Order: sequence, then structure tokens, then C-alpha cells
Amino acid sequence: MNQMDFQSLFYKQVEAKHDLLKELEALLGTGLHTVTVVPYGSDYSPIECFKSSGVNRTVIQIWANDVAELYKLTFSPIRGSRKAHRVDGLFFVYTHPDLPKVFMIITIEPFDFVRKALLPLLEQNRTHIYFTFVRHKDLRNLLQNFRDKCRYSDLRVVRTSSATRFDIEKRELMISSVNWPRLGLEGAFAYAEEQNSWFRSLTFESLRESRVIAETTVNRNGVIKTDGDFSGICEYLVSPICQQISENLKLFEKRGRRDVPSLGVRPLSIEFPKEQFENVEENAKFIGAIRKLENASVSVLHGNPYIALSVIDNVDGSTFDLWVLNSRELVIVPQMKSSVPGIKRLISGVFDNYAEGTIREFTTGVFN
Amino acid sequence: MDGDLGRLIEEKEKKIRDRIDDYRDTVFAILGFCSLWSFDPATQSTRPEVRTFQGRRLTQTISGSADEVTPDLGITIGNRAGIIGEVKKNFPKEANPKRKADIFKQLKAYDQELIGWPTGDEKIPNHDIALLVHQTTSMSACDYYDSIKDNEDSTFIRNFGIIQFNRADQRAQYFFFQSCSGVILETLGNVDLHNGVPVPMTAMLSMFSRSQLYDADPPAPYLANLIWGNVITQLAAEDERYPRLRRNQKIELNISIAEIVDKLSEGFSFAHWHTGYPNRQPKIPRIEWVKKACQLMIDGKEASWNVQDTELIVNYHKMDDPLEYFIHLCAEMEAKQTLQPDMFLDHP
Repeated sequence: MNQMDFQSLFYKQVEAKHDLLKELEALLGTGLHTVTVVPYGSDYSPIECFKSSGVNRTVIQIWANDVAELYKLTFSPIRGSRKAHRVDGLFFVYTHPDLPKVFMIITIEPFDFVRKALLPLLEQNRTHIYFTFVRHKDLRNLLQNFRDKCRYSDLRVVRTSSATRFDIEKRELMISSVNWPRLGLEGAFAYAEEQNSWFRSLTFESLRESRVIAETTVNRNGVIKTDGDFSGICEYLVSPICQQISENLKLFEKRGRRDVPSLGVRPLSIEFPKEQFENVEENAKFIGAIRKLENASVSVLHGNPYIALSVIDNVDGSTFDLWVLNSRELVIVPQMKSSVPGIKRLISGVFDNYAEGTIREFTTGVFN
Repeated sequence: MDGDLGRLIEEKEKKIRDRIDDYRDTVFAILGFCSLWSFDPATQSTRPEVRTFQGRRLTQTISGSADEVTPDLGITIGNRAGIIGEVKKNFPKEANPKRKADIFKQLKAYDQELIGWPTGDEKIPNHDIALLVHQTTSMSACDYYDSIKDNEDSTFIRNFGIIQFNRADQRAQYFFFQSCSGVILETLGNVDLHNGVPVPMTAMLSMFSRSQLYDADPPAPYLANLIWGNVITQLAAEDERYPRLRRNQKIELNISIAEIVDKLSEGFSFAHWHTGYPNRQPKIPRIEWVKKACQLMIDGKEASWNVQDTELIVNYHKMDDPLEYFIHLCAEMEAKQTLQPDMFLDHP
């Protein structure tokens, strides 16, 4: 049986309402495929989400049943573009059975399809779709748990894409790099900490003794690519990421003042693990980091000794006031309009460009 | 000339930023001072018997005068007592008695029975009067008060106190209120103005986010920024082109001044304080302030009048930093106005 036969059989089985995850496990067992999973959250059904596919992409629904929906996506490069070529492929959208508004895009197409066609399609629909952000510390916990629960002897980190923060003459520089460390999980994270780095994506081999069971890549947005052990990946990586999307959704939704009849505010806070704002130089660094936000307008109302910024999300017009009033907390006050993807973009920007922290409901603290 | 203009623009920009800071600090002072009465630290909740108001028109009663006064802040404690306050962050320090006298004349107008309190019969049996000044100018206020308080026409019949405030930063930011002259007797709970009371800015954040405009003309760039971000951008975002709008692309929008006033009033003024007693509360922001801010957009070619003074056409585009842009625009215009006589002399 050739590769195409496996694939055809796989699609037929899924259409016949066989268990998608089991079928994927079986398909990966052939050793011929990789699977990419993109967990995301949305208020919209998949078909509504992909209605707007952009000028050079087309999305057609092939079938839908109560297990999944199958779509065909075609990317046709703009005429005259020498390097790009037409890319097409199939992807499933799987509705999470237990978590409302949480979905998973699953595809067995080559990563070229994911990179050139699928991820740009999701980017096109960024007003409707949001991913999660896997913080550096959470990534470590997630992978440790995956290693232990799946009884792997270690996860050998073979490739990392990371950002490193340097302080040079009171200026802060962020340098991106790709490395091939071939270190165990603990070693790779220890090295990153030593370098003042955090991972944007990480590729690891799952080892049982010295045998490589699967190679998997996880990125900061929760996108996972693997060539084996799909059930383990699903249970201990995809599932917690879906859970996190669901929790973020609950925390971020209805934050805009127009969502509340009284037009009251519902602020969030990011608590940093250390006394982040101990000196005024740090204020300048923070403001510089926020100014680097992609697709945002940033105005500084106050920069020293406290920080007050107003931020417009240029993707959907969400507006936020940002305040730093003590040494370890950033307060985000969503103004009249605030969308879940807008909050996610803002917080991702803070985590990516400045520092990671814990997101929570803002409380004023004791006032006496 | 370019060098002079450049330097002058920088100076003007700094002054505009200071004015914005003063304006916002005044809002914080109003919120902080009122919260000393409205918030009960023992229960960590608001006191139901306390009402606060801002910019309310109260009618004077002396000599049958029907003149109205609009104090910066007011507090009622049940139906039994009230406090009227005026915030003058920068009390004049220079030896110019006229400006100082004008402030005390304004305060003296509150020293009589006033009609229009947010109570059933619009009256309150007794009220205290407070002048809130920044710590850096409080000595000037106290010295001036000492110099006039024994004059027959300057003596306050009611309790009068000067309260100094400052913004302090230790590990957390807070506003500190302390009595520096006179007395406010209508205190509640542990409001100890003699020794001073700190109010954390985090405790005022939610209130401030809803009430960024009080009944005084805000600096035009500040108001323009608020309009751009919270009114015009919201309108632009309804257009399907918005998510992919490039920096050099524009969306043409129509909006009336009345619509801008309504949106800012419901979202960014103290209107939510007055829902139970909306009469005697002028709509904030005033139309003329909004027109002035919109004129700044017109001067910057971001907008034009569709119907003069009533309706705007905005050429919306995405800006990196709207506040910085409006501050620069305003500073540039002020600087050119300042330099105009010199320019005239240079080119007879």
C-alpha cells in the first residue's frame, strides 16, 4: 500500500466518524507523516471563521460531521512572484468536546503547507481567532509533565528558536537566535536561563533509553508538530493548551466597557515574579518594549515615576490603558471596546518584548 | 529662525505635557479627596449615606442672588452635612494678589446657604469648605489666607480648611492629603486630615478610567487623543477595511460634534456619579472644548468641517502615537503664534 492509499483511507475513516485521534495515531505509525495541531479559540464556527480567506487563498468545506469538519485550502501566489508556488492541502477542524469555543486545526500535510497557506489564513482571520501563549516557565512544566507521564527517559532538545535579552549601556536589545543544542530537557532550560533567553519554539526527541520515539515541535502560540506518539502529545500537550485557551477566554471575555451596562471597568493585572520596576530606567525599558508592539498605537501619558499609557489595537480597535503603579504589577484597563484576541495580542506583546508574569483579575488591594 | 522655532516648539511641548499632568492630577485629587468620605476602609466598601458630585450648579441664596456656583467637588453625608471643595493645584506663588484674591473670592461665594445639593429638598443644614492645593504651593495659599482671614469681608462663617496634596512614590504610588490651615470638621471614620491620609492610586484606577474629564477645559491635545482613540477609532473599526488598513491608507468617516460629546460624556466624565440627581449637572465635556480639540485635527489636516462647527469629516488613519502627534501639532501652532511678531520684523 503506498503513501497515498494510507492517506485516502485515513480521510475515509474519519468521514465515516471513526475516532479522528485514533486514526491519526495509526497513520503516524506508518512513519510517513507528520501531524500539525493548531489549538485556537473563537466565538465563531469554523465556517464563519474562514469566510474571509484573502485574495490569494480559497477555502472550501469538503464535508462536516459531528466529529470534525474537513476543508481544502489553496494558496495561489500573486502572478509574477518567482519564488512562491501554488500550495494546497486539507485540514480538519475538530471542535473540542468539553471546552466551549475551543477548536483544533489538525493537518497531516507537509509543514510547507502549514507555513505558507494555513498559518497565513489564520493570521488573515486574527480578529476572530486567538491562540494561546505558552510562557517559558509553563513550557518547561508542560514538557516535564509530558516526559514523566509518558514515561520517557528524557526529551532531547534538538532545535530551539529563542530570544535573548541584553542590556548594553542602559539600552535593552532583544536578539533572536536558532540553536541546535542537543541537550536534555533540564539542561536546555538551564542553559536558556543562564543566557537570559526564552524559547519561542522548541523541537525535541522523545527518548526511551536511547531510542527516539518521536520528534515534536512546540511553539509559543501552542502550535504542535509531531511524527509519533500522538495520543501522548494529545493528552499531555494539546489538551493542557486547549485548557489554557479556555481559561484565557473566560478571563478575557466581556472586558470592554461596552460589554457592561454600567460602562464600568474590568481591569486585569500582570504580576511579575520580581520587583520589576525598581528604578526609573526600567520605566523607559518598559515603554520602549510596549512601543514595539506590532499593530498598535501607543501614547505615553506619564512615564516617570509611574507609567500611564494608552494603547490602540490596530487590528480591531480595542483600546487599553496601561498603568504601572507599583514595582511588580502592570494593570491593564480595557476601555470601551476590548476583544479577547485584542487582549491576547497585548499580553503576548508584553511577554515577548518585556517580561512574563502571571495574569489575573485586578484587585485594588486594601485601602485604609 | 528654524532653530528658534524648534526650541520654542520643544518648550511648548513640555508645557503642554505639564498642563496635561496638572489636569489629570486634579482629577485624581477630586477622586481621592471624595473617596476619603465615600469609601469605608473598615468594610472595604462604599458608604451608602455618602454622595459625591462634580461640577454641579448650586444656587447662592444671599441677598436674593440667583447666581450659580459650580464647585470642583461636593460631598453630602446623609441629609445632615456637606463639603464643598475647590482644587487649585498650582496656587499662585508669585506676589500677584489679584489671582490669589480671585480664588478666595470664589471660595467665599460657597460660604452661604446653597440650593441644589443632591438631597430631597436640595438643601443641607451645614457644610464645610475646602481648598485643595498641591504641596509645592500650599505655603503660598496658607500665607495668603493668614493675611486676609481677619478682614471682615474675608472671614469664613463656615468651617474652612486648606488641604495640601501630593503624589508620593515609595513602593507604590499614592496621593497624600493633609490639612495645612483651618479645619474640616465633617469627617467620617478615620479620616485624619491633621496627620494626613494616603490614598493609593490603584484604589482610584477604576474611577479614574471612567472619569478622565472634569468641568474644566482640558488641554486640547489631551482631549483630541481621547476622541481619536475612544470615539473615532471605534467608528473606524466598524469598517471592514480597518484590520488591514495600512499606515498610508485612510478611511473617511462622518461624525457630529454632538455625537462626540455624548460618547465622551457617558464614558469619560463624572456623569456616572450623578445618575440619581442628573439635574443641575452640565454635560461634560462642553461643546466648545470638543470643537477646539477637533479644530486641532482640522489644523493637522486629519479632518475638515462637513457642516461648520457641527459635523466633521475625518480622514482616519492609523498613527504610531496620537497623543505625541497632537501635542506636537499644538506646540507648533502656539510657537508660530509666539514668533509671528519677530517674523514680521525680520521681513518688513
